[in-house]
Amino acid sequence: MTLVIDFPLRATVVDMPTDPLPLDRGRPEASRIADSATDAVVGNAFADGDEWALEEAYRRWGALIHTVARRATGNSHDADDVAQAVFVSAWRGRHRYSPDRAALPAWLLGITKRRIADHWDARSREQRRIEAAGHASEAMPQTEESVEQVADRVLIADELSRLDQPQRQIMELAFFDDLTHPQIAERLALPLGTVKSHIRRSLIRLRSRLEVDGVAV
Amino acid sequence: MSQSEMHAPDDLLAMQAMGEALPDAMGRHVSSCPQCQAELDQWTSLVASGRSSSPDDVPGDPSERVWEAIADELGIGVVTKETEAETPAQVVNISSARRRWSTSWLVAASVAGIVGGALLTAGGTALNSSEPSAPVAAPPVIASTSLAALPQHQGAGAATIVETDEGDELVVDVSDLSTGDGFYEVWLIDPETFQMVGLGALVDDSGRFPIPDGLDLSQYSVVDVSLEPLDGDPVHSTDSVVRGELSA
Ligand SMILES: [Zn+2]
Repeated sequence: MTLVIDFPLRATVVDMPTDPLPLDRGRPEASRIADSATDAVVGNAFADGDEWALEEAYRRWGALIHTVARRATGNSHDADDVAQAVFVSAWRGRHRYSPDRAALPAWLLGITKRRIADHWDARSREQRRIEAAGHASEAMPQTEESVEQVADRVLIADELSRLDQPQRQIMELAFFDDLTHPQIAERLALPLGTVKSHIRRSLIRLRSRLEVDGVAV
Repeated sequence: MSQSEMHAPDDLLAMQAMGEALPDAMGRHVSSCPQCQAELDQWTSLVASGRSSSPDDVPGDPSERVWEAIADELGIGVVTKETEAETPAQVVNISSARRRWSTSWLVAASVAGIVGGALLTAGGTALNSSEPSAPVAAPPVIASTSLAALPQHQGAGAATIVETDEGDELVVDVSDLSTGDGFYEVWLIDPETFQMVGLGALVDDSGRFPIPDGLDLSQYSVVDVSLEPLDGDPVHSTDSVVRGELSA
């Protein structure tokens, strides 16, 4: 097929701008969509209704949402339902997402908080029916407030898992194992000052993650 | 010296939250300074969250099954081995250029019946009219690329070619582009011949541009966003900000 290109807009023959194209001609198979797009680009595209951004958002934050839901509801099956409900309602309500006001994961976590609240509402209705039938009740362990705490814990744990060594091991010993700084230094045979400066830098990094991705109100 | 000049540095407050004592003078300031107290409270709650977290809080990989349930509920295409296997029987009557760009997305979508009609019939009659309450599925993606900043510039983005009833469109989403005098313009460039087509100005973080009929996307495969001075010259300024090559 010979294509005679008729340029309805305007076309010009010019030299390519100075730098060589970042071409990757040898790509063996269809590349994943927008693998290297920044979170902000994914957020803009999501708000704009571009379908690839939904899949990309799920790929980036699906496990985060699922883990928050699993830790809040206490079981993986309920977490599946919550995670599905979060992404479905986020996509249907994407016109309400404003990338200028919150990062996409923060907005998704805000929806997660509401879907978990729905989950507990359904549970307590069920509970009341059981109590009305004369059975003993179990305590309702979660409140809406604590979903934010769960989200903070999961975001922190997620960020810890992304730290390089030895920061990662140091922070895991400090947070998961509650070791003191001298204990960590001894365990890893590192100078105490080195341990403290790794902890200091890691904490700064954790806080910026929470500021960006923490639950949006 | 005024109090504001002696606020405790952030990282010292962080370490205090971790149980490291502040130097005496600093400790006295913090205990009487509401601003430092508020800062310290934040660190204390971060550390409390951290100490109450456990390895079980680390997210694993997103579940494929949940994704399929989401895609299914929203009626959008999911790429699976089975749908790919059905390719030859499903995609017909499309130009060779189109076939070259047909993707597993497109295939999966047509298998699912979402775009089958639009693809296979002239005029692109709307489907799904029997399901008025169903969410409108986003148009299928034919090709896409991420956009990376060129040296001397910053910014990032993504570009996708989507099929709509009115024809193909290039959807461009960018963020944090280098600023400068003038405006951003979106181009499709043929990397072999260096011919290029200006599609229009990008005035926002996101824009949609119809692809001129007959333009071969396998040839004009490079998406380029340039910074154009307001000089009335329609030629590419050669000042490209972000760029990427489309692939199916
Ligand atoms: Zn102060």
